[in-house]
Amino acid sequence: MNRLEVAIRLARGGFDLDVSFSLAERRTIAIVGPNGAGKSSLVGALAGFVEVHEGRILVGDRVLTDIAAGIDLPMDKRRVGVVFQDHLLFPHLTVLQNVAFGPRAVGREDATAHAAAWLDRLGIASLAAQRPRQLSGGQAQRVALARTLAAEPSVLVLDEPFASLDVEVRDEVRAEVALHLGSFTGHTILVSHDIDDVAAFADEVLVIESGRVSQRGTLADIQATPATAYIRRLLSGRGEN
Amino acid sequence: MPPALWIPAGIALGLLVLPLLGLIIRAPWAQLPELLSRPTVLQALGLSVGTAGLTAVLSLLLGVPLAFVLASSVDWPAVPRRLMRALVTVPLVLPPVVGGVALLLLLGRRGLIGQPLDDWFGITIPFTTAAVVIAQTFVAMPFLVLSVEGALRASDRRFEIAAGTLGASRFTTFRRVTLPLIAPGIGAGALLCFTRALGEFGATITFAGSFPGVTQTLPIATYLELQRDPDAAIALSLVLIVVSIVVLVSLRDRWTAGLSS
Repeated sequence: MNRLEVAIRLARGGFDLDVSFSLAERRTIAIVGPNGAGKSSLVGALAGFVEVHEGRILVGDRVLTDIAAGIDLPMDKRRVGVVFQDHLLFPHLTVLQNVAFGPRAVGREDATAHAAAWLDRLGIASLAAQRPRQLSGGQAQRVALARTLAAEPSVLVLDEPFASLDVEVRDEVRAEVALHLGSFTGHTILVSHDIDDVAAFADEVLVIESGRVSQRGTLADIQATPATAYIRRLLSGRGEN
Repeated sequence: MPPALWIPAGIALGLLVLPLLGLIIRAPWAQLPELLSRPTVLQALGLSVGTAGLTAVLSLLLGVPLAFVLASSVDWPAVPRRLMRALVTVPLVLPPVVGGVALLLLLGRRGLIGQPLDDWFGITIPFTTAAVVIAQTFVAMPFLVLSVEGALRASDRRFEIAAGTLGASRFTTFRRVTLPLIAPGIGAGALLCFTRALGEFGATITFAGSFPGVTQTLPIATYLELQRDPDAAIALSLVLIVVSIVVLVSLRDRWTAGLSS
């Protein structure tokens, strides 16, 4: 069984993050917490663009980070894919070129065909020739998901993927993404502070406050015995936005 | 705005526009084809376009990397960061003739580098076409560096993170993401640099002299013709004005194209 094992500590501008968790394949963990709790530092540490000062990140027996052993793979070798809140689609490339970017970067000859297949699978083949600025928020988020999945990551991080969408399309996109994640065989990490996202995706929930894990469990566990005032607010739908 | 400001503003505008207007009114339009087809004029024009083009290419090769270093200097301590910026900016405010004198002292026959170059390799730089390109680069490259650096600072560096997480190496990211994103800034910088090089006078005449066909560029030829044949000088000036306007217009188009694509 390929588990994702994370046990890291890092300090960043007067703030420190000390978090451990592990996750089985095909499972989704939701990372929730107030702004400034350390969610984005954790995403950065997983993907390799924020420096970790202590600890390890393993995917099965593949070591992404092991500070004691002097290992910290660069972003492009980690196979941690990120769907960013503001999608960060390359503005100078078409949708198809955006999705083909990952496969091309690793030298796949069939990158374009591979990308086209992903667009097809996500039902957005008709957008192939468009530029990112021509897309609606929901379309851009679908393209961003296709682009990340086309790079075939072993860990998929969805960083507040629906926060920038209008309420009307949010449910629709969320349902679609949930559908496509069903066939994803890696580990999924959903960063959010929206309880609806958590309910739609997560097998378990990790609550981070001030750089520490304040509670971990299934959504039902957490609903039964919320450990902190923040979690109670989150559950009542009045979490920070 | 108090209405009284219109008076100095109008004078200022007149100061900017009237000289050009005068030049256009006094231009010997009828003789223009003849004046512009003279061998001396064509020679100066060819030399100017060639050296300014070389200056733009040299500035691209050296200035774009310098712009990257300058953009990354935001993370440096204050003293080297400010020093770096000052060094790049100095040629913008320095009188070009001083730049020419400084280049002579460095690369002249008795210069710091010029003397060993002459003694060991028999290479002399001053008063050659190479000297024209060096003088123009000294004066014009900062325009490109600052333009590219501005584009870099305005671009969202998180696109590079996105590229990295998709499996792109740093080189691939640079080639396929960073450079295309700042391409409008590079294009605008290269054009500015070319235009500035085309108009360069002080550093060039000091460091390279004015040998027809070798170092006598358009502005120098214009200045010399003014004493011999004013009509030829006016014709040469018109050529320089036309080039400037063409560059100005294409710069505007480049910028808007860069912003909308």
